[in-house]
Amino acid sequence: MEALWQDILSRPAIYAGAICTIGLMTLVYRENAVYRFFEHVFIGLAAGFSIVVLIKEILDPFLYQPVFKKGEWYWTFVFMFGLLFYFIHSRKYNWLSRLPIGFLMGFAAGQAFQSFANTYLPQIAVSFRPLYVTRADGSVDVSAGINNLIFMIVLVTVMSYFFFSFEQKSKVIRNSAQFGRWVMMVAFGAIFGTTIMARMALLFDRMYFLFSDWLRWVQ
Amino acid sequence: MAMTSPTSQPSDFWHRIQAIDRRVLYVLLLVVIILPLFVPIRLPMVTMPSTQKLYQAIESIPEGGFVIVSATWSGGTRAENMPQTEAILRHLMKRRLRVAVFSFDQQGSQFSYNIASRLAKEYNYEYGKDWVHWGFRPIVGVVMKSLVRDIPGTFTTDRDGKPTKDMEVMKGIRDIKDVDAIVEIAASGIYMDWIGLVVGANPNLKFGFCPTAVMAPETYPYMDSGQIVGIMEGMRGAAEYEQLIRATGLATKGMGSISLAHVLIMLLIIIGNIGYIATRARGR
Repeated sequence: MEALWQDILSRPAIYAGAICTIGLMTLVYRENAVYRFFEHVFIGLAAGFSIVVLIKEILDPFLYQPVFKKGEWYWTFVFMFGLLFYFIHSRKYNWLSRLPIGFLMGFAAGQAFQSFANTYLPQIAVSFRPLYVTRADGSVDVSAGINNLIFMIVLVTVMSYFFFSFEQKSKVIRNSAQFGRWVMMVAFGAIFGTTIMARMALLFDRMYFLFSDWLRWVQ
Repeated sequence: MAMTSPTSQPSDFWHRIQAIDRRVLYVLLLVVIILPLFVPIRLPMVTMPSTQKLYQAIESIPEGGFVIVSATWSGGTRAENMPQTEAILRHLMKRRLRVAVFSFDQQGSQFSYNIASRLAKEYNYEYGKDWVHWGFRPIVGVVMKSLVRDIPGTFTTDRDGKPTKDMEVMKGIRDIKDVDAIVEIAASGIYMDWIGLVVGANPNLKFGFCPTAVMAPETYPYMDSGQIVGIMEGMRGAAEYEQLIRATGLATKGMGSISLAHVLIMLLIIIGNIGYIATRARGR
């Protein structure tokens, strides 16, 4: 028993992590008070940690130090402008909160133009691909040609699925849209598969923590 | 498993295999995840082109090059993003590149600092000379717009409040044109912001992305177009990267468990569907 206490005192964080992990995993059996307790512990810890980081890494170096240590008093205006956000809770002065919100919305809207162009124009440019592909030595690259053909078929059929502006009466368009739908199903299947992989990774991490870091049964 | 209809008879075998108690499935899952921890299963691993491309991109940076690593993740995705962060930082330090780490997430800032500090000791990386941690930065768009034109002005202090302008690691770094590569390790769609606001500003900039596995498929078009040089996909991608840099980490250890879990899930899907088809066939 004494050895156990010594172990707990020598690495309390590991024990706390293990107890929290097991407590949260009790949900697998059914909803219960233990799970609820540890869920709230986690939320509280995450929120508390965020506040500490915000004070230490943002408010201190970007507000307190410049204003009170370096005499750059003009940053106070920026801070006060930001504080106007909190007037959202006041019925009488609610309109003041719209000033910083409007400022940020204007910034985001302007940024969206640049972001759209940089993100999607290169996508459109690389969508135009040759079906007849040659290598540097002049020989025909058949596999690249087939790849480009598959790409083109998928691109056109998936886009035809999203023709919602008019009724799809033509058999060609209808079949194309149907094929596009199947192709998208394959993509969704791939996303679902990777989702499972991600979840399994999370479970493995917790199990590894319990058996390696906590119990030290495996290396 | 597939749902049974209200009129079905629970005693029927084909119905029962469609409605196995979820607690039984959880136990099976735990067994296949835990078993390889005690009996290691080493399956051959083929490196995907996306991982290989990221590795090649880092390899192509000349010694002393400057790389920014953004670790925008938190405890919830530690299983995937932590091995990714470790693999990338290990590769960068092995190659003696200058490294600047920061995060758009409060927890990510702490996690990435812990990992980088540990690896820095291993590779004799001196803080301030070979690497720096810029800490947590909020408001993605503002930081990205700012770092394109003025990196020392954007990151005036490190995570401990020390001025960065005199640090040797920042020598010669003025704007995005002086950066060789940016690697984002994230559990969100932040890669869109990097592509939209930063990547186009320097045609020679290599932008690598390390998402959680669930996000990987949506990023393929951007690798296809060259906007992302390479992708490390979740824990599997991290395991492949560990193999490329010849290091065994958490991801490599986890591959046996993940593979067995996938086999179990596939078996359960097949069993459930057999039950469903058999029930339908008998109903006709």
